[in-house]
Amino acid sequence: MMVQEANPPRWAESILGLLLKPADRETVSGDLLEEYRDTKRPELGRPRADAWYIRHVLGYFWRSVWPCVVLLALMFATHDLYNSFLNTGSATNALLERVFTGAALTAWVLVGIYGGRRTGRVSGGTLMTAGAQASAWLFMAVWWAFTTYPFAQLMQTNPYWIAAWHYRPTDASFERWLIEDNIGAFLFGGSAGLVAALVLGSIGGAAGRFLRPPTRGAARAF
Amino acid sequence: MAVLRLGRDAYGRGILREVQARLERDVAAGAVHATLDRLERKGLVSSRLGSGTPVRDGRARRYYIVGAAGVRALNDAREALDNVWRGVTWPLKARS
Repeated sequence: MMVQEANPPRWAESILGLLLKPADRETVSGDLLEEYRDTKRPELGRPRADAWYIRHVLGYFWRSVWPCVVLLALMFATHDLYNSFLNTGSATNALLERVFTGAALTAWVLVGIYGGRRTGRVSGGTLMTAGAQASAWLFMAVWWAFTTYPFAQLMQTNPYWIAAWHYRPTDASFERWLIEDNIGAFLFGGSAGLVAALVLGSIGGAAGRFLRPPTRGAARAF
Repeated sequence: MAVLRLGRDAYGRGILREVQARLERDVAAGAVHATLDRLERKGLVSSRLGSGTPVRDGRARRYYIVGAAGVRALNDAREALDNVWRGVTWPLKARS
């Protein structure tokens, strides 16, 4: 049985369209739509068929952005390791902080260029950068959930962090203060990063679209 | 192999279903499309656009065919696999 008028979630279709290369946009989305209408929707019903479709779109999303997520996650982990164990609050550290910030800004632009070049759309660059940043934000949550307490045990011997703890007007223990500090950094840093990623990803996307080589021939003879 | 088996019906969704049926498990559509894209870039398969159908909202199908280099690669792969299995009794039995 075929449910020809049935449609997968519109937002999922839109995201898929933004992730695909121009040459694949029509054919790949058509393949998924055909499978959805011809098989999944009649067999599974709407909720599960929609879930199937969304799962496949997420698969395309992850295949498109995983190298960018790894890049951003590595940068975040490197910064956190440095900040936790090597930070002494000196001028050199202030310079290194600027380097880390500059590297993050550059990475967002580069991801945008990659996305714009790959999809031929500015919005493709925006989506990939925002998606990569959102995934890296998730990594940030997991990373801090597992490292805050054990890191706190070691950071208590670092004079810089002892001074920072005493500087703040709090009666909380060092561990509790650090957990609250990390939660604040997660909420503020992650959301600010997402906004920056949207802006810089769009700029990168525009550059990537401009740098895109001529589209390969859509139709080729056997 | 799926492209070869399907012949003139080898397009994205058909290939996905064939692979899933052969492997008896769900396979990500993205994995199949990425593989086809890679095979095409290596010159092992070639493709052409076919017409769309109403169920696809008229979106084109991309049909694939195995080229001469692809056939050679399949023969080589089969030969290598046969060499690996030569002399081994099938099915394998666990030592007690």
